[in-house]
Amino acid sequence: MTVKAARGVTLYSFQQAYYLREMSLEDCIAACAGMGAYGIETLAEQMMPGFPDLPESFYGQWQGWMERYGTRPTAHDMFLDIRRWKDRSLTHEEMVASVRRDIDHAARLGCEVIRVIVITPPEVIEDCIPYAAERRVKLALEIHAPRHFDDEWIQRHYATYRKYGPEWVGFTLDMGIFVERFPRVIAERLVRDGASEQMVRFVVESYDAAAGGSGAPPDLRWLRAEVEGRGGNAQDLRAADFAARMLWSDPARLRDFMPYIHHVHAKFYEMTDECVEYSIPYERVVPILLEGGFRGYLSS
Amino acid sequence: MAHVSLVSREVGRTADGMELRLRSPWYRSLPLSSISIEVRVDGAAVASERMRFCVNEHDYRLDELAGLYDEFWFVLDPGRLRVRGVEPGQHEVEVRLCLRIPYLFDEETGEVLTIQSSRRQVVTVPQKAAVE
Repeated sequence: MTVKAARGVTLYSFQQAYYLREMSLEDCIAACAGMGAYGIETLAEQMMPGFPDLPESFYGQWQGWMERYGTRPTAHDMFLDIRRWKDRSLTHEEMVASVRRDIDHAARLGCEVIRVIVITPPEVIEDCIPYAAERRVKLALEIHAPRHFDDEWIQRHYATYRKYGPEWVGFTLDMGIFVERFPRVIAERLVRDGASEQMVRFVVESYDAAAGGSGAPPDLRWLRAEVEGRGGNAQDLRAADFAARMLWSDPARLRDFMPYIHHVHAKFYEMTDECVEYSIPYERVVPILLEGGFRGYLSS
Repeated sequence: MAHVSLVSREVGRTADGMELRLRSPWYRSLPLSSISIEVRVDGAAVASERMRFCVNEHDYRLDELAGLYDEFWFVLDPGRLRVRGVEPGQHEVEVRLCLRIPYLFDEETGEVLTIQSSRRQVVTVPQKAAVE
């Protein structure tokens, strides 16, 4: 844990440059340090060839980079390939073994947190808590749209976690659950791709009117049929689907969960020149995090 | 994400055919069991027995891939697809690559998300064999 909230980067954000071989793993780390974001979050399956059987030499090289650039490992983003086999899902024991493997990796990197993929069943996490505690790694299930604090799945997890307290288990909060305005960059892109301006305006206005309140998150799945009924084309329907997949939930709800928030995915759709996110009200979320004693990383 | 071309423009010649280089169109490594590949050359489907997929310094039959749950296709590594029975010269090649994403599935139906990429382009198989 840091002594106070700090900024970091998930190297997921460099996926395109990495994929196109414009940047290596080391280049990504150096770039984060260069912009003053010293917390480094990684995806082993993306940038660490050979995972899960990484050689000792890799971890040595990793420590060397952390020292050279003054960076710190924050979170390891874990996957659970539940449907690895075509004819069956992983068993409970196989899932536990897979998560333990990830705990070992996170501990070797020096991460304090694992971003637990949301599909992980609560019983699997429960059976991994002692193992994580021994290795001093927090298991933090990602709350990502369309899920939010009050949906059934997250509540099932929360009920399990409360039996153990927040020391080694909790949540990664994705800021995408606080989308208050339809992202302008997505609306513009849809129009460039062939959506009609009028239909996109209708979708944007419908989204913006429904978002922003304090009750249960709005459900905009009705938009697709409405756009279809108005004769929308394929791109118009994509606009409706975007609106239905995005989520507004009231940031005030975060207060009750604060001790369990271990990590934040501080995503943005459009950071304006004034350093204001167009769609997500950071200025109303960050104070809640700070007042709640958050000492992890805002990882962008 | 922006894709590099699924199939590289450079085509190699093997002793009895051609070699195409394929990039994975997904952002993280996937088990080889996630991969299925179909190829047409000059409009005709190529039987899978005529192809081999080479990755991680191994050379696999396509029907072997389904069993390889623990070996990964890393995102930066081109897979080399060797197709037997293709003569030197110009051909129209169509590759369809299908990836099952083992952690994305419908919770109600259990159906696994499948990503399909395809690419059709004219290639020239060199007269001289450049690869073993």
